[in-house]
Order: sequence, then structure tokens, then C-alpha cells
Amino acid sequence: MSKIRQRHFTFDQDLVPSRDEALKSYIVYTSKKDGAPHRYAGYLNAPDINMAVEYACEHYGQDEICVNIWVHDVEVIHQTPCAEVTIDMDLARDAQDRDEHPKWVVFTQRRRGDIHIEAGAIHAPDSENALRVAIARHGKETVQVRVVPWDQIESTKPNQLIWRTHDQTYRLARGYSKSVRAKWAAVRDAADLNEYTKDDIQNHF
Amino acid sequence: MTNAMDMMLNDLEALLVLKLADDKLFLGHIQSDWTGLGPILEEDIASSSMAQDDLSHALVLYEYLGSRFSIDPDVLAYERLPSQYLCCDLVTVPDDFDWAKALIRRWFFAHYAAPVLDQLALFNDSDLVERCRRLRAEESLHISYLNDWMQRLSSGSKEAIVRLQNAIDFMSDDARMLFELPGMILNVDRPSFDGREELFNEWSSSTHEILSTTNLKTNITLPTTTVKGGRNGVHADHFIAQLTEMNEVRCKDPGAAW
Repeated sequence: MSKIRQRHFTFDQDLVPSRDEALKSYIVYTSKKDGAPHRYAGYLNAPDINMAVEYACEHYGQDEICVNIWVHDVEVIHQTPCAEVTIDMDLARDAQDRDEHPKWVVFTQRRRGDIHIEAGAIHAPDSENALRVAIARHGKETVQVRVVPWDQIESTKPNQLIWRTHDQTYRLARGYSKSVRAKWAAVRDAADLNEYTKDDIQNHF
Repeated sequence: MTNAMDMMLNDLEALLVLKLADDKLFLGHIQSDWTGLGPILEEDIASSSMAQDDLSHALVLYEYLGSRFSIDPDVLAYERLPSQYLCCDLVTVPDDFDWAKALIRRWFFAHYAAPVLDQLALFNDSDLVERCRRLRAEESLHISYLNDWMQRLSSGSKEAIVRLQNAIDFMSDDARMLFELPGMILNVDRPSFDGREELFNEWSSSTHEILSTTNLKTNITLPTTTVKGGRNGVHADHFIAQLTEMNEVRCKDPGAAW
């Protein structure tokens, strides 16, 4: 830690962990380019959904180039149990999709362990019907279908800057390893390899 | 090298770029002290990410000056005399790990940096204009985020409001010195070249827009042109302490490749 800031902290009482209800959990999806489906990126804890979007931009929005972010409370999810092989299409019986009903966003998981990816949107009067419609429309060859009410999803603004415009590769693990590898190769090539190994052996044995 | 540095330090437009670059370098450095100490994990990630932005912005501006005056950007960042740095004391004053102070510092600064970037983008230099345009978009992100924090804390508990007000009072004297200018610029016989009053008015109105929705009060006035501080190389002790720490590694082996 910074030397000028080496200060002794004193506490006149025990530290109390913050109450659990102060923060809620939110699921984050990112879209990598215009029109590309939103893919599950991770989750985070935040005091409310607006801060969750701000945090998502700084956290998941900086992992890869990203043009849009969706965030929703973890509690607004409705989903089918994860199937062993593929989802039982009988669950889609009597599905009815009518435009006058509220909009739901559908996310599907192709195989167990895969991330959830936006599959489309449907309309349904309630979560039970939403799941039926979602399975009928998007459930084939998936193991799990998730629906989220559209009005519960908070999104970044259209054309909002998320990914930085200047070179950020130094922040990324792959950018770092690439530049370190290049520098290491340069050091190694420049040194006399025999001298190097001789010293190395001497030092270690 | 000395000649190139002197040339830069005698170039009026370069000085305006340099003061912003120096502010950003030191702000990014001091804010990075919070990495690992943020109030919650996500805030830790977000504020560290923004501190990195400030360091990146400093680099973008040092690279511009470096290419114009043939100086290595690292030399610009680390190897000047203390009196050749033009940052204001606001960016190096210790925040005592008080989140309110750290927040107020960043909030005051972001509202200042945005119009400064707008000002620099008016220069007749396409390279500089393009750089400032990119930085400006990112500065807007910082502002929106910091405004959110201000609104959230100022509508929170009584303690939060008291601590924010104390932080504002603590930072006010240093905040006004954001608008100090290097003496050479004040002496220029070009109407409104310095943009001193315009910047101050813009800063006042954008900060008051947020403050007016809260119970927080500020009383910050434009300093007289005779006051000499960081922008004229006259720095507080905490600046020297931070500079010494920041260039410690660099000074062990100047010019070493990493």
C-alpha cells in the first residue's frame, strides 16, 4: 500500500458486517455487437438496479468489447428445471402467444453447463404461460429455458459508451500475457543462452 | 532533452494540455490506493477501473505532448522537477480513506475535466482534437456514475449527508485552485485564451445542478489571478510525498525497459 497513506486505523467498536438486505443480486448479460444476442456474463451485488447497471459496465462491460448490457434482479427469473438431455417439449402444450400480453425475454441453455443466451421475446399473461410459449418457440435442442419480464430488465442507453475507446489490452489477462511473452522472448534472445542456463543450474543445484 | 522540455514548458497550448495530464496522473495514482478497500466488491472494481481510466487519459495526453516535442512520455510522467508539474493540490490531498472525501474529489474533478477537454478540442490540431474527443466520451461516463453516487448518498442517512458536507468543506479550498492558471497563460494578450471564467461558470453550473437536488452547500469562488499554487509549480507537501513515491521505482533505474 501507498507509503504516504500508511496510517493506523483505529476502531472504537467491533466491525459489523453490513446487513444482507442492503445489497441485492443482479444477473448481467452483455451483447458484443449491434444486434448480437445478449449472453450471460455473470452476476453482481448492488444497492439497486441503476447502480447494478453502472457496476456491470465497469465489471463485465470491460471484459470484452461490448455494446449493450442487460441487468435484472435475480428474483424475477422463471425457468424450467435443467433437463438431462433435452427439454421435454410436452411442457409446451397449450402455449398461446398473444401480442396484447406483457413481453418476456427468453434465454436458453443449449447444453448443461453452457451459459444462457437470449433466444427472443414472447408475450404471455403470466410466468407459467410465458414458459410454455418460450419452450414451444425456443425450447428445441435446449436443456433449460428461462423467461424474464421485459419491464424488469434495465438496459444501458442506446449507443452508450461502455467499452473504452483507447487501448485497454493492458487490463486484460490475454493482453498482459501477450506483451509479457513478447518481452520475455526478446530478453531470452538477447541473452547468451548457454550463459543463462549455466547460471541457472548453478543457482538451483 | 532539456531543450525539448523547456520548449514544451514555454508553449502556451502545451501547458493547458499538461495541467490536465498531470491532474489525471496524480488523481489516478491516489485513487488506486482504494483498490482492495472499496466499500463493496463491485465498487472496488468500478472505482479501480476508473482510476485506470485516469492514468490512461494522462498517457494519451503525454503521448500527444511527447510526439510534438520529441520527449518520451515516461520521462514526462516521471522525470520532471517538482516545480515543472502543473497539477493542482486537489488531486494529491490525502483523503484519509474517507469515502466521502474520495468521492467529492473525483466528482469535483470530473465536472472540471469535461469542459477542459471541450476547450482543448477547439485547438487547431487534429491529433489533439481526436484524442480529446475520445477522452471526453469517457469523462461523461465518470460524471454520470459519480452523479449517481452523489444523489444516492445525499438522499441517504443523516450521517452520509454530514460526511458529504464535511468532505465538500474540506476539499473546497483545493477545488477552487482547479481554476488557477500558469502565469504565462494569464499574461497572454489573447482575449479569453485561458477560458478561466468560462470553465469556472460551466463547472459551477454542472455541479450545482446536482447539488440543488440535495441539502448540500458549497461556497467556492474563482481564485484571484495573483494566487500561486500547483498550476505555477508551487505545490503542497503532499504533492512532493506522492511524487516521491510514484517515481521511486523509475528513479532506481531511469529508462529501464519493462
